[in-house]
Amino acid sequence: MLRPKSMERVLLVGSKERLEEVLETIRELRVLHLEEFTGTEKGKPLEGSEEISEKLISLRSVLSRLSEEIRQVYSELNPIHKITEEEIEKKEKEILNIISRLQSLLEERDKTKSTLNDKKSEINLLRILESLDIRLDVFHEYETIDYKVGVTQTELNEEMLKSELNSDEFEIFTGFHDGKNILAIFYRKELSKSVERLLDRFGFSELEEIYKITKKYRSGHPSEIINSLEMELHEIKENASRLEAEILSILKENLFRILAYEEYLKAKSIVKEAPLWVGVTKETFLLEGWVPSDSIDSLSSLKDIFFTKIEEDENSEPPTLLENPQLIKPFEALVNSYSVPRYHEIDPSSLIFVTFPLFYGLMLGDVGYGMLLLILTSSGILKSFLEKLGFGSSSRVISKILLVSSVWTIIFGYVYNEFFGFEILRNILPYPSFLPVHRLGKEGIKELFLITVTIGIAHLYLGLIMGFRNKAIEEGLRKAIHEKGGWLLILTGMTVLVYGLILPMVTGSQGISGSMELFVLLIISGSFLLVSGGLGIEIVEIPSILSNILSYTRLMAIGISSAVIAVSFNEMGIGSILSGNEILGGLILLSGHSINLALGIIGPGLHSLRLQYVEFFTKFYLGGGRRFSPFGLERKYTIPRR
Amino acid sequence: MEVGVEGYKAIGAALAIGLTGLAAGIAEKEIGAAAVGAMAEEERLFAKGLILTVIPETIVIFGLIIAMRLLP
Repeated sequence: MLRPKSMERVLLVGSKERLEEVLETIRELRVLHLEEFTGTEKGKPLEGSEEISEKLISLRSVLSRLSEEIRQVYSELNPIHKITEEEIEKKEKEILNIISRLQSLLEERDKTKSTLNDKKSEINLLRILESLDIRLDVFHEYETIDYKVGVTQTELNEEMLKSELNSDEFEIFTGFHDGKNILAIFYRKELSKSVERLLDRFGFSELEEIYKITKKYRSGHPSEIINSLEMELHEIKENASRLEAEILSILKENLFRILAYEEYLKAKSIVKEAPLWVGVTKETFLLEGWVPSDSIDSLSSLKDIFFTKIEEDENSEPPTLLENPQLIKPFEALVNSYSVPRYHEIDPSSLIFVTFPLFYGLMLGDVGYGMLLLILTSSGILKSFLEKLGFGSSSRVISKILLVSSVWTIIFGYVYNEFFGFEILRNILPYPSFLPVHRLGKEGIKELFLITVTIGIAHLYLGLIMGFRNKAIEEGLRKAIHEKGGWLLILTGMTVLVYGLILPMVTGSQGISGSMELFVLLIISGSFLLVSGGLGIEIVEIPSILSNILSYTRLMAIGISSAVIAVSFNEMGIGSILSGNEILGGLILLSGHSINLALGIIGPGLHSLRLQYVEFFTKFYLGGGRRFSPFGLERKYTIPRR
Repeated sequence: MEVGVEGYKAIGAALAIGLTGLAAGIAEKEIGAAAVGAMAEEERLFAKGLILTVIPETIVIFGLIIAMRLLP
């Protein structure tokens, strides 16, 4: 639990002819983390690899273009129906035909979409001409007359233009479309300069696209053309929905076959490409990698293959495969998002499984919120909500972590005697004499201060002790004593300072005599260990240990702020209910507690995580390991050949 | 109007919390902006970004302790 799975480095040697077969077997075993072989010449991709990757690429492009439809069909098609590889091979032609049919349907669909858009924009332009109420026949190419169509800022009339142009050798048509003034002006070519200048002044912008329409449809009234275009549009739309329906029906019938074919191709292609990682000589192949120690038997059973374990050397760090019980698994994500543990390091997932939810509960601490959170997480509502927000696969992990945290929230809610901020649990449940801790009162705050600082000190000791262990294993006992031992002494000194001076100061009592002297002694001896170990520069970090300890008082502070918010909303809500405004009061209570719960999920979550990452991990955890990723693939849609 | 000793203590406590909060905010503003920028480039920097962003938070906790010392 505290250590990643133990690994063995292995070497497989066999005759080159059997390479493909051996790789296929290993692929199905999924226990070997392949390492790139260094030393001899490396192999080339196996025969047929190009053909398979081409097939795979074209299939994937079809699948990605169909992603929307596949999601739709997939949700209707559970459970998955698995297909054997033999069946896929037998029906490969058929499947390829289906895929090429889908491809041509997609092409047709794209084409229809683009004509649909073209026609729509044509209709739009024709509507502009319709508003001018002129036939398209007038837009000829004349020898002496020019014309312009466009949008003007203000409405223009003929009289105005006449006086401005000092001429009546023009004609205008005006209209109104889509909130804009439309103008078409026909004028003698000699006038063109003054017309342009004038139109500029009125903020005229020409609609160039209109001329495409007038060139295309040379005669008739715009309304007539619009009518016939709309008929066409209707047909195109029908065609598009027919195509969509055909695509959907093909997918409904064949989706699992297509997905299985993709998986089949992928399985083949990884084997065909793998020789790039394998060493070869004239007759043999050499394959190197890491295997979890308990799976080593499955590899050694390969027939006619020379199999041997290799001693670990210093340059080769084994990959990390974390091994934790199902309940703790989600907490691995918190560790991995910091960094993957190195093979020789302690895997802190199980420690975080204890402390993260504990801190979370200490902060949120309310039976009402805890139960609500328990319902939201165990029913999967929170998970699907997070999925909608785009958290993807981490939604499940977050939801599970919060599920564990909600249990602690309920426990501490009992300790604090809080139910949605109301202190009513004491009337219903039995309490021992030292409980509840009333965190809104002065005494409760002092108690919590002491509790949180103590938790902090214990957490830091645990971190440094594990750091000592890691250092001792990786760099020897001497180094560990100098570095982590020095820090342990300093932490002890700070502990004396906190208990002997700071806590009495806060609670207003007398400090413990002699603690200052002990503090100075411990700090000096700790610094001496650091300096003599060549780590003098680390002395500047000494005050950070004190700030680390005091940082844990956030467990109290965040909790009080969330409790105060709950109490304030209760007072506001109950206040308005008592003064006769039940609806407003109910709304205040409902929205107030929803906001506080939302804040309560984010705030304690981040602060609890911060205490792990900043205060705890920095004492022992380095990370930077490689994740164990075995050669092979997850079989979701296919059954491998026997 | 005269301010008593208790009054000065309360003002002192409020200043301790308020000013340290402001200071932490100013410090975190720039770190946070840079951390979000880095995270946008590479998502796996989340943990490191978080750590760097919350470092100045401790200032507030010092303020809190001073305030608690002033108002026992």
